[in-house]
Amino acid sequence: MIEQLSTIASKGVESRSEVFKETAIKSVKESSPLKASKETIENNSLESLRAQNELNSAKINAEKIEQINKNREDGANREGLAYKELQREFPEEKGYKIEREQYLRDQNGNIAKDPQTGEPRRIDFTASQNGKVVKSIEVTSETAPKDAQIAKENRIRDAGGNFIKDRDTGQLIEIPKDTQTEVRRYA
Amino acid sequence: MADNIVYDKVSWHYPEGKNCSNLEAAKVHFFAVMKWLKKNSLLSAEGEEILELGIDSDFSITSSMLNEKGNEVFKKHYSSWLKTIDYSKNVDTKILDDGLREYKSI
Repeated sequence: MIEQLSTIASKGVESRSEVFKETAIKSVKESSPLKASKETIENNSLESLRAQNELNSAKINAEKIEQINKNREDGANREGLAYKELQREFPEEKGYKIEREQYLRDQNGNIAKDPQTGEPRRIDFTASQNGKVVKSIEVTSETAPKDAQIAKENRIRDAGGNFIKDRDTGQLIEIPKDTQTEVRRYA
Repeated sequence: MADNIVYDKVSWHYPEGKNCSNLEAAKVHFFAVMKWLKKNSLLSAEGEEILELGIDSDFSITSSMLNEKGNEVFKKHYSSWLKTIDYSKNVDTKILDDGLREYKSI
């Protein structure tokens, strides 16, 4: 700018637009190689970024795809551990019967529904003996919240959903009022 | 009695699972597979009864919900199928279709 003003001062005010034009051309000429290099760098960086993004997306997609089956396996492993423990606690030779995934039913054998949400309740494990459920278990991870499910279960039970149906005999088995579902947590 | 195999359960994905953002995302593949089981007549009487209830946070797919053919296909192909999908709405049942064709051709 000082250079331009000195030129204007020496050549006169009339020539100022010409001076600015010359300076602009000079500036473009000087910066062209630099600009070209900058563009090359920018383009290369964009290419690299694109490639990196594609790699990241592929990795994320692969992880997402693996995760769904991993979550299933983790859940199945937790329940496998719980099942083994229950088999030791409630052995078949002592007349216990362990059943998985039993819906709470009413005295007529219909699947009972929560008066608040309209949803049924499926219990992870039940152990029964002599026609009565003696243990009811909910298996979950170390951190998953279970309050809502237990609250739902309490409402269903208050409304009469106090039975399960034996899959072998079709007979209803009562869950006594004092048998509440216990939440067991596994890693 | 034979053990009631639990093939899959909504709660294993949400809230217990990782990278599954909400309950609706956890239910997507269950809707798809129950529709597929119904379409191919692979549900047992218990499965039909449970299907009527809809899919909620307590939902699971068990061997007692499937008939013999359904169990054969699931034992062989469910896990492989699950490895090909994610928690998006794009659920392709091709692997299960192929598994069912394989069963039919035996």
